[in-house]
Amino acid sequence: MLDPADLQVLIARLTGIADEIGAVLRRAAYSPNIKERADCSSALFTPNGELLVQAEHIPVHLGSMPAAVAAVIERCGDGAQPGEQYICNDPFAGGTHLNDVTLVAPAFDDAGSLVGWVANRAHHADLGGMAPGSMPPDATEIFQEGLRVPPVRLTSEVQEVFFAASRTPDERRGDLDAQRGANAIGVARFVEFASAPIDEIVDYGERRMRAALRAVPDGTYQFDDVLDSTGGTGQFGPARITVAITVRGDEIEFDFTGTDAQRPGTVNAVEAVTVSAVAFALRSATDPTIPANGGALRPVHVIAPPGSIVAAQPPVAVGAGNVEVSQRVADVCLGALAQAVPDRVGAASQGTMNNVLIGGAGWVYYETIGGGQGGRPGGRSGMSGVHTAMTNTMDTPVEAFERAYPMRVRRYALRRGSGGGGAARGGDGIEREIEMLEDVTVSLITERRVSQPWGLAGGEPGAPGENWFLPDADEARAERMPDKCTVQLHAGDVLRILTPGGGGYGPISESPPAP
Amino acid sequence: MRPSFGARMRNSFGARMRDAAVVNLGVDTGGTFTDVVANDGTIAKVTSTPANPADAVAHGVEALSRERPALLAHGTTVATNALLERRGARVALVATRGFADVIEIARQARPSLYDPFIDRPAPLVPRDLRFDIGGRLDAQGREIEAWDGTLPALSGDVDAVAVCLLHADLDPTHERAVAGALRARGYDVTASHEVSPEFREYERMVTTVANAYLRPACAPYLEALRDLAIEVLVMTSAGGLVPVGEAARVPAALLLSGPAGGARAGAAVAAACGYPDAVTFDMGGTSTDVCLVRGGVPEPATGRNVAGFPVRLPALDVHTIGAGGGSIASLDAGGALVVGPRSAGAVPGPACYGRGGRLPTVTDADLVLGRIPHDAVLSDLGRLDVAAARDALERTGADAAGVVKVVDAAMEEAVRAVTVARGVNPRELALVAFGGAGPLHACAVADALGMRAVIVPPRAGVLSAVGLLCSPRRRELVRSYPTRADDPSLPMVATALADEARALVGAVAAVEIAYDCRYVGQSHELTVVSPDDFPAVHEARNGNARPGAPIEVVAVRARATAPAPLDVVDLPAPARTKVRGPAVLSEPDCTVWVPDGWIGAPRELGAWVLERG
Repeated sequence: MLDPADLQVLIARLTGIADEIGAVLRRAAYSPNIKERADCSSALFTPNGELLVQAEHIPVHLGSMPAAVAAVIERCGDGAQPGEQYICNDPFAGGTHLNDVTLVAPAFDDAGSLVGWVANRAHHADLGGMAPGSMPPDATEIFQEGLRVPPVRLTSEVQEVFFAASRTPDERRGDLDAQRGANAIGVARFVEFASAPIDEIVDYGERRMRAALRAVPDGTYQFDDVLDSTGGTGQFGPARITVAITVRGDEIEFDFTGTDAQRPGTVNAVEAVTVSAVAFALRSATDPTIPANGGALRPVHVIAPPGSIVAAQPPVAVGAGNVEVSQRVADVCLGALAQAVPDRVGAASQGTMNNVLIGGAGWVYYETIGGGQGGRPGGRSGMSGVHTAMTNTMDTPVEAFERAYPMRVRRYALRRGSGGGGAARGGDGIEREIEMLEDVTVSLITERRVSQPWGLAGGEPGAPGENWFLPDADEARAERMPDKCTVQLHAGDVLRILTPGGGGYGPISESPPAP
Repeated sequence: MRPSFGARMRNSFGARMRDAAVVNLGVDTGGTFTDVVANDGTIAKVTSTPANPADAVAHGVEALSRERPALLAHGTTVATNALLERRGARVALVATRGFADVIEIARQARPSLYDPFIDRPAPLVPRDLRFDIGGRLDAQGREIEAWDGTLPALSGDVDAVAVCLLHADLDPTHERAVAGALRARGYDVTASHEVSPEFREYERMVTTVANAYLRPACAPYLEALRDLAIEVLVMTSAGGLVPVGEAARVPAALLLSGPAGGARAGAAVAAACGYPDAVTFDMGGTSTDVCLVRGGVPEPATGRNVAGFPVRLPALDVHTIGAGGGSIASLDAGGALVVGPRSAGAVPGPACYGRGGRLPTVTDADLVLGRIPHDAVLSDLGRLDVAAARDALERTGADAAGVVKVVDAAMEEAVRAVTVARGVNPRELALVAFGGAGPLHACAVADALGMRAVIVPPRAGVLSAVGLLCSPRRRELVRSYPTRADDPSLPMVATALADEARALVGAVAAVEIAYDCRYVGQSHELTVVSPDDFPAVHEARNGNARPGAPIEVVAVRARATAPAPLDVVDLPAPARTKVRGPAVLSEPDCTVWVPDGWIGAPRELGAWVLERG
């Protein structure tokens, strides 16, 4: 067994490889989505597909990448050859939603034995489908969302199919090249560790997680929450997610039995997304420094009933599962964990990514918008205008946005007072107004427009978000838009998005005034 | 507190005492010591006086110069400390209507993915001091709404005002008018086009606000230095010297003044020894700075993150990690040895300092292993306490060799971050080690990365001060100029900017022009000498190029440079003899560890070049 210093050195070196893959990917990528917003992730895996180390990028990617590697090993692993790479984005075979494209490469040493696997994932802005951005809110089946690629060897023929499916093929080419190059560099470095006892890192992750779980009181903790709608025509009713978390010694179980069944809309998460959200909530509520590797998940058991909205089965659409169901799964897990470790968990954060997809002639633009973080124990108000839980992308600067697209930002401000009251107030959401300078198609996938981010320990909930359409920028004709929709806007029309505030923490009677 | 001169090391390295008055001095203010070096090679260390850092600067000058020196080149932490300790001014922000909260929204990202208790830094302008005004430019910089001349009612306790309007990098007319009107009312105003005339509003706004925040805090200190020498220059983050008045005007440009001097001198010494391509490795007590050097020049950057704020002013591309000699070692719950990020700091310091520190640090491990001689005497501290170091390690269950191994791995990753991660092969580079702990750890880092050699410059313990004297006088201007790369008006714009830069430095200045370019549709830029070079640079940096794809220019840069006060080769070289590892070299200002299998040879300027035997 490695001594404490050698163990730490090995972790540092392997993590360095994952970081480098991520750095190369961002450096070489073409699209703003990867380059500027950093919507991408990278990791190394053991020969049997256990997560070894990963670079810290997007939480929703991190817990779900092992599913992609497992799918590649299952379907193509036997014939894998040095120098090859495999591609997949099929949510029902290792993916999350179609935009997230994962490239997996085997790392063979000179003797031809498999050292492990290298993988990276990047969000591609458009892979076809019925609306620009490949997350059509009114899709009911995955076939409407865009190109679905099961785990296959990445050949030049496959690439051509991939590019041809997109509304922005040049950008796809640049980004896929970057992904491939980043993995190749990762493989070259990983094989230097052919004789290293990498399994010990995974075991170490398990020891850390078990030590953290022993500090959590035994018991069963239950929590419920809702999604406002599941998208798709006539699917405007809420959907319920429920979890019962049971802690026994150094093991923990997340049981989602009782969660609503999947529906023919887009708000359905595949199980890998649910596991990501579980892993996020658990690290966040116990010890954020626990290495995110396969070992850390060994004492964690997830029961997600197949066919529910947290373990969707074909052929439902799943575009919003990754971006919205993931947020609510994190919320219910945190809500339950707050009962077990009250000093580590705050009130609910905004609980949505506020996805806005806009397409015009020859261009597609995608953004997510931050909101309020929940108030926290210890009298600490939530941060305002920030991405929370399962995403952490950066915004596109207003000046960059206006110079690149035929749109103008009229307002980009904090939604003051939207955070819930409490001894520690919830953070405020964001107000964002975009004026169209040409005719466009707009898709919105948003949540917490009906339900509110909950308060905790007596705190008030955060204000729900609001979506508005102002024809010809006319305030008098402002119309409320649903949480999920696709609309045609004309030049001069204004889209106004108000994102949710965070919930408050602690008694409202002790609340400071809104800042 | 009375300053201590106990650490003065006049005439170290056997440099002869000159009868002539010392003319040029480099003075570097650090957290514990203020280092001084003169153009005859003499050095001094005086205790820093954080409450009034100018006192230590004056003491340092007195220590080496009997008369008023001709020139003082100063590296300062005054701006950095004011920002880190939040001791700046009460700043009001005036922004385009609807955009004042951008100072708090930042780029929407949070600093820690998993820890909900780690916050972004609180914005430098509180909500009640954010004001907005009418007037709007479009994406081409054309006015679509005029400013009506109305100013917000600022409360009386505002010390300074930052003005940042959308698209002001394209046309600063509105900003100029607003700033002028505020100045007429007596406010200390920084307008965004004056400090960072580039696009991306948050970075421009935070740079503007930081400058407004720092100016009232830094200007009195800097102005007070004027009398210490006939000419007083201050080091900027970009590794260039500017007159003290300019430094007082744009203190946000001084935030990385400290590390810049070391990187410059390290690069110069490495080049003199025949290694123009290198990485500088400045390992101190609480942090370590590394910087890639190519062709003898430290890599430039267009901005750096300081205290969580992306300050966008020219800087050297110094990468900093929070580990150094004072980093504390511990065992975690999974049985791994962790070093840092906690640091023992200067007080109580490592256990061996005997000032009450009971937790083991890297320095304690170095001492126990004999890499720091057991009879070492640190000024003011007396003899180091080996037994205390050993006890602290034992109490924690940490092994001294293990602590060193772990911290060396962290250093290795820091060097990788500025080489491998940027497409540069470290095997072709030398590692230039300085700072208190750099020469103790450099060989292990170089070994792990297969680097060609380790260079320990003369005066390695005060190298930043040496670098101050050996850095050029320099000004850099940037202008947003979005256009196609083949725009025939580009050369005219560049020439005008070049003339402007030259006028700031003097007629002797050499001026370089550069362009921030990208492929049309990209969201990031590369700075190139000519747009024609862009595809090749893109290929080298990013691993791909797009032949035939249209290129656009985003900004034009001009950099005017005049010679440094001193060439590093003019400093007297200390005498050296060859050594074979394992050996400990006790220099007057630092300790060098030469491991088994390494040979240290004296080279140009009195540097040690360490190579595998």
